Amino acid sequence: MKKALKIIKNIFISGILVFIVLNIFCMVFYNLPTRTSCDDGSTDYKWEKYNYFCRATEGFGYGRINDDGYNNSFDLKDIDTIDILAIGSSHLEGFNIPQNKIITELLNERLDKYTTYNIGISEHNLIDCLDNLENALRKYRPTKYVLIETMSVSFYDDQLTNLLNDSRTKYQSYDSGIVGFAQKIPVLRLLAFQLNNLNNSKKVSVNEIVDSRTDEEMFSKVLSKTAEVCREYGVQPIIVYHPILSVNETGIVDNTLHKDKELFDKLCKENNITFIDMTDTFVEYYKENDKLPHGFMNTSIGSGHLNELGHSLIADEIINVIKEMENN
Amino acid sequence: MNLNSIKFILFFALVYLGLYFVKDIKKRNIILLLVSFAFYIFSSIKFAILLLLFITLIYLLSLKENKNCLKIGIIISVLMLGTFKYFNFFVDSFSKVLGLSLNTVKILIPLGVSFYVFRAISYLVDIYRGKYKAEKDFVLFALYISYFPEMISGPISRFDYLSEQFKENNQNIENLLIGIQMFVIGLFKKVVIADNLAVFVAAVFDNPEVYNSLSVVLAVIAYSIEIYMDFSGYSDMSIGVSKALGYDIKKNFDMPYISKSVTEFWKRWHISLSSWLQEYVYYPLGGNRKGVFRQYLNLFLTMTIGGLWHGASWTFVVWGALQGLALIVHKLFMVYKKKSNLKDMPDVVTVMLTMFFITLSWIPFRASSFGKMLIILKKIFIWSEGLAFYSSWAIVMVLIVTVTYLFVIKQNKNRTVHSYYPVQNLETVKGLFVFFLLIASVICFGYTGGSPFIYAAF
Repeated sequence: MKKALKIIKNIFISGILVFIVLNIFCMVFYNLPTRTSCDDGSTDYKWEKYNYFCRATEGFGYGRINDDGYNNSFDLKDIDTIDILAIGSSHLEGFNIPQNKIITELLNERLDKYTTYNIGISEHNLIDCLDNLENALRKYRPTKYVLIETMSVSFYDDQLTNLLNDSRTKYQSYDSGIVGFAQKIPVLRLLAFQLNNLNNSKKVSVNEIVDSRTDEEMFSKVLSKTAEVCREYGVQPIIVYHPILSVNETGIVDNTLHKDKELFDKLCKENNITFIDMTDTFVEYYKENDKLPHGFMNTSIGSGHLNELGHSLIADEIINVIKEMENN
Repeated sequence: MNLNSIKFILFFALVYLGLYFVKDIKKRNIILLLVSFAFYIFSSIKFAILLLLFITLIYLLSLKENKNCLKIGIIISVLMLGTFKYFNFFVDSFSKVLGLSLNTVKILIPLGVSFYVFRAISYLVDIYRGKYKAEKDFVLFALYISYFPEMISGPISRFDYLSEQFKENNQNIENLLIGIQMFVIGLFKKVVIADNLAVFVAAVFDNPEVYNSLSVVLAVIAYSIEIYMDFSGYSDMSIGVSKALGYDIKKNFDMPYISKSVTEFWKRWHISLSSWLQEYVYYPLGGNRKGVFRQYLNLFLTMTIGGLWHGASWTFVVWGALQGLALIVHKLFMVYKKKSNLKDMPDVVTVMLTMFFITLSWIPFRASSFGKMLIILKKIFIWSEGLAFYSSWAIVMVLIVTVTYLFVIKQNKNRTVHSYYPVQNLETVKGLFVFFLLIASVICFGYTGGSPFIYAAF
């Protein structure tokens, strides 16, 4: 009995020690901010303000969430106006690279006549962003442009239907109860990340989604509504598309369903939405420099999130397009 | 069902609990046999029936203890392996050589066929040689062929050794604690090291033409680490599962990359296969009993067959042939060294030279075609530009392995080094801490994208 109690005590002590050691390690390896609800509806959720983050599972990113709950190097309270509001997914959010290298920070540095504000949030694809667009414009009132980042130009019918019917299921913030508490513990976040990856590795591959064909009529309605909302708030919408390009023995490969891209381009033009297609820029850069805009040395090159190069190329392209628009 | 899956862990937990309360040896073996078939059925019911038929046929033939029946058994085993694994390979190869356009057939390869056929052949040959009598207990024999921890990727245990294990009940808490630790060590090697390296290796080996030379060199070195961690990791898991059940399986890897020669390497790498090839291919061919030239030819043929066993592709044949040539060169060198009274080279040099050869020889093993193999070799020896992919996992692992080996070489000058399992005393805080840290590392850092065992493909 004594021996059993001693073993139980040892298990408990060693378990606690391992827990502490792993949490210390995760502070550098995988320490995401804590999710919290977004009451104004600009995004489905946002991050707890002033949380520091550090992430080395894909690339290496670090920074501090601002007072508003997004990845910006400055607080919202420290700026008077927002000229360019950037909405998008984890690619725009940029947790995979240092904060000062993300698109919006580079825009603030290189296009310093405008203030660019980032409300990119993980998981939010174009459909989610367009669903939240009006709320975001209402809250932030950008004066010039709204930038919407997307890595896909193909959408399923049910995605478009849910958007048009206002019946999209929003992402949860998980900021209450046991899950809310567990979020604050880095090693438990890492565990959840691993389980999520394990689950997703069994789901449909990216190619399957790309093989879908977007319904022209429904998507036309979506973009028409988007353009109308932007007109109402007096901003020019810019959609930036950055395809994930892979390479094989034949060279660089764009897996986009090209007919969907042509449709996207056509509908944007019809609705006076500026469409920036990064494909040619990425391909030319690869041909000259043998570098790809997605992927990292600790995962895979040519897949995954935008790396520092990708962010930089997109920022420069946005600047060129804005300058061209303003010169015309 | 792979050994590194949650399904298997749950499966094994049930098996362990079920067996724990069964003390009668015969009943334990029946349950273990049923469990082994249940494990196999997860893969395919059709092939489970085929396995049962194969076992029954070999069993009946072996009971005759008649040399002709034993020969028939061996022929059937070889034909079975040849049909399932090599039919399309030979059809395709002959078509190309003869300029014909013969159609290949869609043939699925039964799980573990390379391993259980080799077990059957070793059993039959041992009876043929009079090493032991045929086993009359069908359950014991069937269990030997179908034993589930060894089914997917070996080791290739011998009947006389494994059957003795099955005749005892050593399932106890002590063996369970040691076995679990061995299993977790293997799991760590597989899912944390091997699988994470595999992402980088696959990217480069699949399209070597797009990457620059340094990336290709790093990928080749990373593959030598990946294959070792993958295969030895699996062997550790198999050995650990067996240990937990109270059975001691011989180790299959003994720090092969510390070898000072290719000859030594093959005594440390996939020990169960290399010893099988020695006993059942090299010796029957004549071994070293028919003169020097014949000895070298036998070595070359044995290793080439060993290469072909790994896969139905000419790249594997080339790999095997390279190993055979290297063994011959080493033997010639040793003869020359003795005659010339040459001094021994420093251990660091011999280990590095052996590693250099082994690493390069993994290229045909991994490359999907001769074309890709040649591109990789060209990129290694002639600098070329391309996409830069210096995987941080690969760099870290190469550094760790290099430092570890330099340390081991220095500490063990003039001594033969052997691997061991660093099992901990799980009654102490230190032991539990190391054990829990290892488990947590597997969970937190294991690759979750999914990659099958390299040797399961064989």
